[in-house]
Amino acid sequence: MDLSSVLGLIQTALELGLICSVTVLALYLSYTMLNVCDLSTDGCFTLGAVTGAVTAMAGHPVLAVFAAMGAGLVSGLVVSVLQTRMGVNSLLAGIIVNTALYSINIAIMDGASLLSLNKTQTVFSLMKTALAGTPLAGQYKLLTALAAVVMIVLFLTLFLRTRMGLAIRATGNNPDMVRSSSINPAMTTTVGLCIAGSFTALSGCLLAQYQKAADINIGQGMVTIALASLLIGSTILGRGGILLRAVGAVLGAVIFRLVYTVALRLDMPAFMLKLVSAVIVVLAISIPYLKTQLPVLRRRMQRKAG
Amino acid sequence: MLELKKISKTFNPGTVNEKRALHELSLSVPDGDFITIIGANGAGKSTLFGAISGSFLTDGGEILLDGQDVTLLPEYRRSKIIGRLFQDPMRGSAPGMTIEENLALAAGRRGWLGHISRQDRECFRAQLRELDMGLEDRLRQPVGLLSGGQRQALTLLMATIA
Repeated sequence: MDLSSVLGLIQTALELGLICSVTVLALYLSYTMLNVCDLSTDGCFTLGAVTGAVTAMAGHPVLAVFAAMGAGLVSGLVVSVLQTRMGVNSLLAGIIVNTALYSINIAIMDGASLLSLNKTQTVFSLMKTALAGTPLAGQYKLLTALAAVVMIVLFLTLFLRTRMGLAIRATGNNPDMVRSSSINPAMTTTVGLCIAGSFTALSGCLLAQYQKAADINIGQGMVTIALASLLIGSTILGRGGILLRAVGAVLGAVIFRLVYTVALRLDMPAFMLKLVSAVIVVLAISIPYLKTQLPVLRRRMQRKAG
Repeated sequence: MLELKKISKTFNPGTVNEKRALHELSLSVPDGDFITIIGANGAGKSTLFGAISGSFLTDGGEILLDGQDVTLLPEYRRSKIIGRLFQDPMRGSAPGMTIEENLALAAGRRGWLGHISRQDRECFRAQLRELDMGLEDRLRQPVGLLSGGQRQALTLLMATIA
């Protein structure tokens, strides 16, 4: 394999990593900050992809981004209403909405399960036209994805330092304390999940426009992949401030893609992606726990031996 | 003036574990009073505080604070007018957030989109100094690093800072 094709692979991994990192940033808000595992992520990602695709096919690629985010926000709202106002367990609320979204997503695609954006203007093709003739013209995909990621990271770092952001973080940390600070944790959960939903959908919308196709399975397993990326990121930059951890989330997503690309080159079949991400999530969550259990085990072994 | 009018609370009604914690209790507390409540285990002291602060809905009766009926007000709304310290020092503050972030949340001065300003920090530092625990130099440290006593002192400050 020559150098240019290696660079090409790295480039693609970087672009896909950045696009998926928007979902990872959504989980950074909902999972890390709010301490809610939002299992509607898969459906919400697909919702963003198909809403964006349909809007782009109608000739509005930029509006598509906002339409997708709006749809994701509504999806997040439904999940949060189920868990904060109707007493549905938070995991279950996500699963229920995820199931419902399958039907809704197909309905949005008007009964089809695949939409092709081959002949459609996308935000990427718009960027390509805008950059034509400049030295950066070849990097239009990377720059589009990067612009989205930078905006989301900036938004999150500013937002999480506001009083609303503090309240959201406190809700994940100690809901009792939130209530006694005259803040309704149901409200903070709702705001957090709505924002996270809009990010997830944005990520889906970008991926659909990037690969010029949206299908009903585009988001399948996304929550595990994003969680794996988030945990990889937090092992690298876990102890920093809000900005550093957000950057870590993005880095985690890119690293995940790079590792995946390498694995593919080493003849790992593509369908193994989801198994690999599942194993990474299990390892990342269990290793810190197992570490704490290790001294106990060791002492027990010593006793048995002695 | 805090007034309780014939409030009752029975836990697990109709079961073998039925426990009548409060029975038509009436109490009025004038402004400026300092009150200590003493009772045996299970006498209903915590239940009384739970009823006043809104942790649960009482079975009957009314609770008035300065004439305002707060009986049906949810806990998070009541906490705007009632400061409260939990028995458990771990419950009153968020361990993963810094001292200044906890104080800012409790103070709530700048609206939902406000950031912590230099002025806020000065004010927090001045108030922490009065605790005389050296916390004024640790504004950016997570509360989880404090001892139980330090955390309870911080919670006391948070309850009164608003």
